[in-house]
Amino acid sequence: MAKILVIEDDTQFCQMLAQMLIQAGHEVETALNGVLGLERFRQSIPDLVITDIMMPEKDGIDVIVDIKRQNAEVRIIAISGGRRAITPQFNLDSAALIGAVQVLAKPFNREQLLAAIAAALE
Amino acid sequence: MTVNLDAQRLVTSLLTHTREGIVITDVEANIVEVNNAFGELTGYSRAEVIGRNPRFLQSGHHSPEFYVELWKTLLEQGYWQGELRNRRKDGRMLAERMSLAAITDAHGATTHYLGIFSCIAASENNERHLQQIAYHDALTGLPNRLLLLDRLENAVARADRQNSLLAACYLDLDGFKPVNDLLGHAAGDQLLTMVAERLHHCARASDTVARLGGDEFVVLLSGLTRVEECEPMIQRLLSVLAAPYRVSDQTCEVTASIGVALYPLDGSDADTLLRHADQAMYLAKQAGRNRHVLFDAEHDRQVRAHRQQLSRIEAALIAHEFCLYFQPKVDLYQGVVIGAEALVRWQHPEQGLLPPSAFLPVIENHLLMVKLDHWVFAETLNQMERWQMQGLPLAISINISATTLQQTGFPDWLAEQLAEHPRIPPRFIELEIVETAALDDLKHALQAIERCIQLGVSFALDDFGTGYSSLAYFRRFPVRTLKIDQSFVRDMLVDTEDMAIVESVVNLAQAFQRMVIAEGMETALHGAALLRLGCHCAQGYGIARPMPAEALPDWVRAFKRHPLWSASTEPETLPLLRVESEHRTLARQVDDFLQGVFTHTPVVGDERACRLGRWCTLQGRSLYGRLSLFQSIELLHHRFHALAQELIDLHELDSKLSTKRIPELYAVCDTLIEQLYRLQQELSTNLIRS
Repeated sequence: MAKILVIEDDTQFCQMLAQMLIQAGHEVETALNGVLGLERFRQSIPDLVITDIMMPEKDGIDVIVDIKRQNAEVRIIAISGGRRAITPQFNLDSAALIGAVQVLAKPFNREQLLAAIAAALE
Repeated sequence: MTVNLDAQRLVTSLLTHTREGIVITDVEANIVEVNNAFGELTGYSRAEVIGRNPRFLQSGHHSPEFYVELWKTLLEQGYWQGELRNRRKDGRMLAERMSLAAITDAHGATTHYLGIFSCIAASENNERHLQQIAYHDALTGLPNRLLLLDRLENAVARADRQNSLLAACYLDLDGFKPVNDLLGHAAGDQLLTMVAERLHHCARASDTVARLGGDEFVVLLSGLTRVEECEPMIQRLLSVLAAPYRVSDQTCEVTASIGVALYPLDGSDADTLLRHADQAMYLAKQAGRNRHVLFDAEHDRQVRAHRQQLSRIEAALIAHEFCLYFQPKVDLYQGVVIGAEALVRWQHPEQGLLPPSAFLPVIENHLLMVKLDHWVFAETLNQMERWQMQGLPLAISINISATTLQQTGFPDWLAEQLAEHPRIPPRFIELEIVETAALDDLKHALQAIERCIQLGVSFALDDFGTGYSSLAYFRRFPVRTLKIDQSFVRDMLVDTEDMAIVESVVNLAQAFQRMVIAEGMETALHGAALLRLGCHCAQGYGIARPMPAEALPDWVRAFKRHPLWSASTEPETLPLLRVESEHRTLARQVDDFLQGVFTHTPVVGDERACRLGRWCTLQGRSLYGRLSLFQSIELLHHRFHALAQELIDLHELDSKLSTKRIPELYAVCDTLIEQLYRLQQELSTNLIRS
């Protein structure tokens, strides 16, 4: 059981993700953008952060950098769908370069998600 | 009428012999009889006038009110006496003293009207003649401007009373001057008289036709209920005037451009109405003549608003309301600040800080643009000096508009400015021009740019990709830097086409050995993508927003490279073919220049800025720095660029010697390429890496 912060600007996707995690027995907090995400992070430091990369205002890359600055230990999983011009891989490679321990390209299923969480928390 | 025979004979004799013109009409005012004198005075025969209403004699001199008053008197009192200006059949004016009387039957009912008139000789009444001159155009007899204004005021009052529209048509002949010039003034006058006649015949009795002078006329159309009503009337004026004229045994054609202003829609007084009709007439001329244009109140409002904005901006310049912001530019790969761009802002007392988009479009192509550019440039140099004294020497790029660049004397002005700031090395100054800037007069612009380069400043092509980015165009410009337009960079992560454009601009810059910098880098992720594409330099919100001058030194000191950038690199491979072609091309360009084939001084550039130089610094040195082969390549590379520059410099002093030494450059180039191939061969066979 872990305390997980989900940062994702797609409301529907965020809810589904949270539901999946709660069903798996985790304690979940959500934030709908990068700025809110960092606020939540400061308020209660989670064991794991799952963040989207392409978000308006403050994107996932900057979120990861800021989180790492505050707490180098926290585990981060980057998720990304990528858009037309760049593959999800570009985003995820970038995230990995700055410290995401696991990356997931959208779409992914429950098993892939849970496996990534397990690997990240190891 | 009850008369005996004698009396009848008497009357007939009177009719025949009297010198006064006599006209008898029925109760509907249709002519039933005229005498001989009528024909002599008016020029019309009896047969031509019987059955017609005498209003065909009207000259347009009198207002409709005048006739209303006349009839009112005649109907109420049975009698009217006064003076009339009528028009003879030959078009000449006929001033007459007229007595009108209603003839009644035994019961007092009007059966006929009798008019008796005599000609007023001009000499008879000088004052009257002067009045005629004062209110009428001598050539055509039409009302002149004075009388027109009087009529216009009456018409405006009538339109108010009747709640109707009034159209003022300002008319200027197209092609009148050639007639005047080719056939002489007499012919010109004849033509104008014919035009006046046609207008007069075309107009309704209630309309006024006036001549303002030259080939300008005004027709007032009154009593309109809808705007569209004037269209067919104006069309008729146009077609009537466009028919050929027979002047001095020549057939000539003139047309008219007509501007129309409507009361009360386009003006509330006579003066404004005429002015607006005049403006519309100019638009009709511009639109191709022989047409009419309705005055556009909205357009006029815009023009006036624009003029107001211009004077507001001018006042702002005088009141020092403009200020400079600076946006840093960084080398993402090396993590260093390479300079900043000076950006003008307007500290508006009421509206706050305004971006350039709020005022630059207003002054585009206007002399104010030059003034503002000059202010920005001078102020930037002052600021650079202040920073230099604080120990922060920064390269700054400054935007220069096309208008300013194309001003004769711009290079001289620039030289003066530089001379006033001797502490600032000119190479610290980059002038940003937009692609469209020089297109008006490419040759002139190129000359100006080259003179500025001689002064030591460099140029950047701003907004690259948005304008006329033709390869030919770009190659002719001795610019050092290409700035990729921010719209492409901003959307490159989501838009495939924008990504492709960014990539091709980067390749273009590399192929032509120009620096490239991306504008609009909004996030660190953009930076990573740019680095992948080989674009090292960028500016944008992802790095820093534009900031006041005071904030820049602290920002520069605190700047740290984003961790993502240091991890993102270009692919390691050295595109050897491109490197080879770049250096061979440069050698050929220098050759051409020294031989006089090529008039532009080739941009030799810094050896570190070219593809090979960057590869050496970024990858080569760390990987192969210990190898003597690599060291020799770096030396040869340095030698190549230095020699190219040396020969160009030498060309001015001793062109013969410089030409003689060309083979040296080719030899260095050959050896360099040969060694590079050797290095690559050795690398690929993994002899070294292990």
